[in-house]
Amino acid sequence: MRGMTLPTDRFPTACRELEFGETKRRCWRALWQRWQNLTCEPLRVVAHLANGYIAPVDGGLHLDGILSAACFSLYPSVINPTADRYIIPLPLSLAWVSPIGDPLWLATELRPADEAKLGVAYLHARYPVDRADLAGRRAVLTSAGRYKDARLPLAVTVADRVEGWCIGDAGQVNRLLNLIDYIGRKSAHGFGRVIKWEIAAAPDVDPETILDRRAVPLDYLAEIGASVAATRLAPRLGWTPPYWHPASQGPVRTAAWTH
Amino acid sequence: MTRYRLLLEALTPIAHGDTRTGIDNPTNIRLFMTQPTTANGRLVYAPHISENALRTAMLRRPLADHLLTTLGVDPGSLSRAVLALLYSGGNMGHGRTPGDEAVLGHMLKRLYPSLDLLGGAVDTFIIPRSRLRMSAWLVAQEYLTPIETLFPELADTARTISAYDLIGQETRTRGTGEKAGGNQMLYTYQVLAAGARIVIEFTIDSWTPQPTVGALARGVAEWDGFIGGQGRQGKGRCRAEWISAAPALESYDRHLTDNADALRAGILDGSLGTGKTLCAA
Repeated sequence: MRGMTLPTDRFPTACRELEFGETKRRCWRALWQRWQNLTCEPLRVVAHLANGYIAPVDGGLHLDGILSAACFSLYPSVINPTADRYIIPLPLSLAWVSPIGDPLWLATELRPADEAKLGVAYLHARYPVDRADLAGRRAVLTSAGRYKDARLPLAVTVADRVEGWCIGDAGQVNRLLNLIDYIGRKSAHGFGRVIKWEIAAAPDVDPETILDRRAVPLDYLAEIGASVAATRLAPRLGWTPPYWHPASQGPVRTAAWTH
Repeated sequence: MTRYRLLLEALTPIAHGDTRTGIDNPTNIRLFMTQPTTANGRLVYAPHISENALRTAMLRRPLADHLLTTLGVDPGSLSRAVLALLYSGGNMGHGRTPGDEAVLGHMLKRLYPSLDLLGGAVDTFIIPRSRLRMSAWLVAQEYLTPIETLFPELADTARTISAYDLIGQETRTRGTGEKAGGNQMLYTYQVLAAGARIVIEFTIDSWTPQPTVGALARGVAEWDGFIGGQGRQGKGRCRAEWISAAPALESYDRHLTDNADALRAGILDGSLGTGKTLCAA
């Protein structure tokens, strides 16, 4: 973790920081100061699931994204309407920091540990026609347009366990993951309930193995002079948290996965 | 995060149509709701009560009814966008996002705890992440893993029964009232047997304000006790029991009392307390 730095001005500001200053313990800048000095080791992370999960659009459950969500929930923060994207510090090793300060963390995607099954579920949403008398305009078109009855198909991955790898501090990774009890999309509807996290040392895993199992920006690969197979090129995918944000996306080498 | 656990027991059979095969079901029987899970390593669709349905029946609609009744909002006074937001989570229309939607979204969430709890969409943006995650499982063998882990006191019950053994069916007739032959229609739907138990786990995010937690309690308290369809025929009547400490509802009620004028004005003018028109249509 030592050696590379992140632009701390892009960290969120904890409410407490405004009052007491950034040297106080309970803020992300202070956290990063401490985490920079952690001794990191290769780790295997397993999530035991209670039911199926719904993968994001790019198909990956990104371990660094999950850890970022957990870390962001540590402290109440000031809402900054002008902030485009925050950077959230993590207790992980960095592979690279882009010229604008986006981190490439050494953490893979989570994938099913055993053979997974793919099912389907549907969510429905309907205009409340039985309460239409409460509205000034009672007539509503529910077969087209804004208030059309919606039927949303969802691809559900059913797996008992998902696993991934990272290089980080086991204690801090464990602490953050235990704040996470749902992974994937549509958690409000019960998908992706995690019932247990398991973190164990994985001494055989090296940074190359991890980078091979996550999206890596082509800029980084060009910098180190690595070539990329055409089958693994994607013109636009997320590679740093928040993965859904368009500015976190770019041309990448996709994850190679053997399952 | 904070978790609350609720046990439902069906007092009458539950009719809850399957959304997966509902549209193109080739049989004449309306199948019971299922969800994908695994049994002995194979994908199976096991009977299930959908969290989407529970969320709407137990929280979204009761909270919307309670809010409008408490505020004394007259019929015919809402915009359709506000009505959709309160009762079904809303629909985005067209137009530019205001740019400060994060600020507006949090203002709205602070004033309307039920929307903070359940989320939704206004004309041009989706309200920032809802506070509530919820999962539900039938107390049955197919869901033994989560029940053993999260509801160990019900594990012995779950081991004794398969969810499929809880499914039966009912056939009804419907006619025109004419005496001419052949005008009677038979229709059949699957039901979950009375006595079936469903456990629900509500998970509330860290840093959730107390009025939002109270909204969870108020929603369940206002719920009419029915889930699924055919309620007019008595189907789906349930008994609910908190099997963990119940959330306190006083803070929600106090919030409505203390902010009644702002809440009412925000609903009627579509600003939802932000000073900008968020729901115009």
